[in-house]
Amino acid sequence: MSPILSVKDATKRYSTPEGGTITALDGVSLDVQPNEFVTLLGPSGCGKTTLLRTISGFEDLEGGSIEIDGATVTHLPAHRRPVNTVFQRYALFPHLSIARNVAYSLEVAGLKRAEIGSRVGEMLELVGLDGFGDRKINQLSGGQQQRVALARSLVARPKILLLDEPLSALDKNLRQKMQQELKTLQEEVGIAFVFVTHDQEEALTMSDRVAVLSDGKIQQFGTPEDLYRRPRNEFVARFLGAGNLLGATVSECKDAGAIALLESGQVAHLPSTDAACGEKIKLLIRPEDVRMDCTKDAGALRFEGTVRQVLFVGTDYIVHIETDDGTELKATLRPRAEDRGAITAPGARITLFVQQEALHPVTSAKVA
Amino acid sequence: MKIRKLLRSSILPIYGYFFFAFVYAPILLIVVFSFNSNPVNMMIWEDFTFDWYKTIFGFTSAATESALYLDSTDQLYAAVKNSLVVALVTTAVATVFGTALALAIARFRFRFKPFYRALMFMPMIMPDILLGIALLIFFVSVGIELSVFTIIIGHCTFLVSYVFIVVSARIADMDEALEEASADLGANSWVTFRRVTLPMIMPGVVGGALLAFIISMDDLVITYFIAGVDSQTLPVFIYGMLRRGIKPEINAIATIMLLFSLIIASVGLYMRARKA
Repeated sequence: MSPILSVKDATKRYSTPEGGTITALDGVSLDVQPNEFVTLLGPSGCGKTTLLRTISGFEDLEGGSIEIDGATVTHLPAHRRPVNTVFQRYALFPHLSIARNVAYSLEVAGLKRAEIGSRVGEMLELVGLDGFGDRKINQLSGGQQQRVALARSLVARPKILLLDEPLSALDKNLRQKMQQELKTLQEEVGIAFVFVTHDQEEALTMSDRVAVLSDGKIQQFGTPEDLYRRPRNEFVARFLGAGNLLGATVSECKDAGAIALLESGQVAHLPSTDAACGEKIKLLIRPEDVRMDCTKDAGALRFEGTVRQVLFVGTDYIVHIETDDGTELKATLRPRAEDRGAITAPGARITLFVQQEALHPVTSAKVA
Repeated sequence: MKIRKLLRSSILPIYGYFFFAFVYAPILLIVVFSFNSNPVNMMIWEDFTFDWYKTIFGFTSAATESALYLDSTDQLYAAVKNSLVVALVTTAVATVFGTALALAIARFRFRFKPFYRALMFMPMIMPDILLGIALLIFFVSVGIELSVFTIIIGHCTFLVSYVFIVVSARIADMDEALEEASADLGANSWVTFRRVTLPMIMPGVVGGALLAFIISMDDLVITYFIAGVDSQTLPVFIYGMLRRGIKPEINAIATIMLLFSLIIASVGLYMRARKA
């Protein structure tokens, strides 16, 4: 399947008022398949919004190229690209009714009145706003405005829909509801969505694939599970949820796998790693992989220490412990009823286990 | 506490009444005097009359025949016509150029932008008399004969600034993302201007145009320098009349001008209230 969007080696620099330059995009390459929900994730200033704006045509690339459905659009102005955008603050036209907002692209394209009417009606129904057509923008709630923005950008049947942090203005409950609706909508209309956010949870929930950006470069591009379980480097590991990163040194490299020595002297067996022998790496342990019960796995890592802090969050306890060699370890535990007493008191002694399979090596170096 | 109470209950209201009295009493007096039939001293009320209005509109009456101060109603009409022509042409030119400049400075990126913005404020700050003299010297040295045309040019030089400032304020309130949204939805820059930008800034454009019209109708100082002998505007004509003593017809003319300005200002306020 040929990609619907293909960004190759995109480069963009800004000059700052102080006379310096900021590299917003530094050789970014990205392929998006038709019907795919792709999220650009990263902290503010990582280049994700710039990347989106070069795809929509609001920013010109300095180097590289952009192809949409096989056609090069690199230097095409925004109004001639077969993509539409949902803006961060919706950017709905306040002087037009809801129906006229949705009809805008069709009117500009010069479609017949009857066809415009029926397509606008269809679109409003799709986003659950039928009967709202005559209202003014300022008569709608935030969530409703969001839907109008979606309807307006989907009515022209773009090849790709671009979404620039569209949920950031909504409160938490509404945001979660809209996440599901967006995903459903994307499956329904069957076009590629490129979604920008700084919220890792949002990215993991909705996306088929996520591109994590930092310093104008893609650090990793993969499925949400890939990024969470097998982050390529420390930045990706840290950005996607809480985790323990323990220092280790690679001591043996074989084709079948590698062996790393933790600072505590424990041995970790790794399936494979890019790291060379003697290199210092970090081992990622997600808090939910830390367990209280001794497993059958004889090689499981064993941490003995003292409970420093306990947070009860409903089903789970988030427990911070300090091991006897001074390592901090964070664990999400769901103890059996009889064990609860052992962890809920700060200062209590505790023994925790981590299976070898839960260890994932990451390098500290970012993609450069 | 007591002082505050006293302030609120008596001093401040009295201050307020005085304020309005000082602003509006002279204007009200003119309106009243315009109906006073005493042709010699208008400060002394004699009788109610429409005679001064009749004189302006060219009807002679018993009372005015003996005291006809107005040299010729034809001159008055010519002045009114000149004023209207100047104001209408100036408003059209100043509105188009002022709006275009405001958009250019708000939307495009170019060098020395703050300098150009400051340049647009200059004609507003410059004393009228200076601008009038400068324009006169310019027209004379270039060899353009003073006429209605030179008045129009003169008025445009500073009214473009007024429109620029009013429209700029409106553009500053407008979300730039709206124009991006329009482009994103397939509209080229002209269609975006016509369908999004212009409707959004329309209250500013109308407000600027009305302001330009009223200032142009009203201007005396600058016009005085650059008006030719045959191209007097209404304010210049009235000033000429005053030099030969205050005559009752002036009150009538002033009242009509006041009414005219009031209507234009009301239209402007109404449009602003409706759009906001």
